[in-house]
Amino acid sequence: MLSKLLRAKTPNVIRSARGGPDNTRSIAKNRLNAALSRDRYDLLGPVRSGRRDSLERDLYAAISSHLEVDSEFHELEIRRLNDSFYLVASVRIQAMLPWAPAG
Amino acid sequence: MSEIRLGGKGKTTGNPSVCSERDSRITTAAIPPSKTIVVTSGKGGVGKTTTTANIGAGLALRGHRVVVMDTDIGLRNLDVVMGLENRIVYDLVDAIEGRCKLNQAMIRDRHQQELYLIPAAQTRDKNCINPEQLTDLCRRLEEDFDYIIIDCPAGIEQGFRNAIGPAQEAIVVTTPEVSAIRDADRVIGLLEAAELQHPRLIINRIRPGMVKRGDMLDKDDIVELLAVDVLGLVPADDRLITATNQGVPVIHDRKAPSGQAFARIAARIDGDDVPLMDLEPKSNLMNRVRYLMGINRSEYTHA
Repeated sequence: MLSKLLRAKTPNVIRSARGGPDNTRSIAKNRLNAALSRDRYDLLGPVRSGRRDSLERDLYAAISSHLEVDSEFHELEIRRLNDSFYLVASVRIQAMLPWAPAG
Repeated sequence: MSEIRLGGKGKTTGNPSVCSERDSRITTAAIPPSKTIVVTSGKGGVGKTTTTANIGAGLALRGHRVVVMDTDIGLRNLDVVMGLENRIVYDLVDAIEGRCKLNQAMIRDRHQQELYLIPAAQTRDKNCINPEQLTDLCRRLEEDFDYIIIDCPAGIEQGFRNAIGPAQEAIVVTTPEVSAIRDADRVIGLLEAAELQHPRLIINRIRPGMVKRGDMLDKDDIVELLAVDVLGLVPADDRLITATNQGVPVIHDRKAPSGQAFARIAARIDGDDVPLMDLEPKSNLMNRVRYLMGINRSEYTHA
């Protein structure tokens, strides 16, 4: 019982010191998600400073002509699935613009 | 098929049994193709060498003829993990550079007749061989053995390129730690770029108690991050350390959870549909008391 209490207590101290409810497992997972995405992004081509920024800019320009969106992406990651890499981008929509048929 | 002799024509001098027993088998009709499998990780210290030794022993226990090969030139360790360090006369580089016949560089395991070790050279470096030479050597071994398990050095430089050159399959070993998983992801990308598709993952040194408390990444977290199939789960296990201290692969210790995990991994490599090990922390009082008294050396049960 005592060991159980101690065990339960220690992580809470660490959690509160970190300022959030997350346990260290989810902290590790979130950190890895970001690190792997960054690594994969860099490996897709020659590493150039500002490459990610320019992709964000171009994507934002393309999307914002159709939708009113936040200027900052909520998520912009390279993920691996079934031996292929996928660009996963998500951005918060502020409002839909009126739809007009092409031409 | 004609008689196979390792290391050139005529009678060989190193391990005569290498040829004789196989000769009768190769005349049979349905012999599965040999598999050359590289065990890699990127990061050092995650258990590649231990995994190689135990997979090799596990496949040999299943009746296969197996060679385990240490390609960590300059930093060899597979020999000490298998307890064969005092039997080394020739090594991998000697065989490649023609200073000995191939079977003279092969050391028969102390426990299993059908398991051989080819040790790495200790006084040379990774640049003294190339992937083509190692591929050629493995193709010769494949004529006589069912499995060739290659222990890859840490890193992604020349030693890594040498080790993956001959491989038809790859196993990536990781631990549930951020640095090991990040390096595993890098290595998986490099393996796929080298057309070693579908590498399979072994997650080593899992501590189920920590996973249950939410303080260690679990199998599903790691699979989600790396997007590869899991070949096996190996619990952290005191008995593995004591077995390695004695130069005995832990798979020979029937009470060791890690040994049982490696037996399952060997079965899965061999094509058996064996479920992954179920690692469940021991929760009842008696098990905890036994663990504290040293009667049980692991903190969890297993399927």
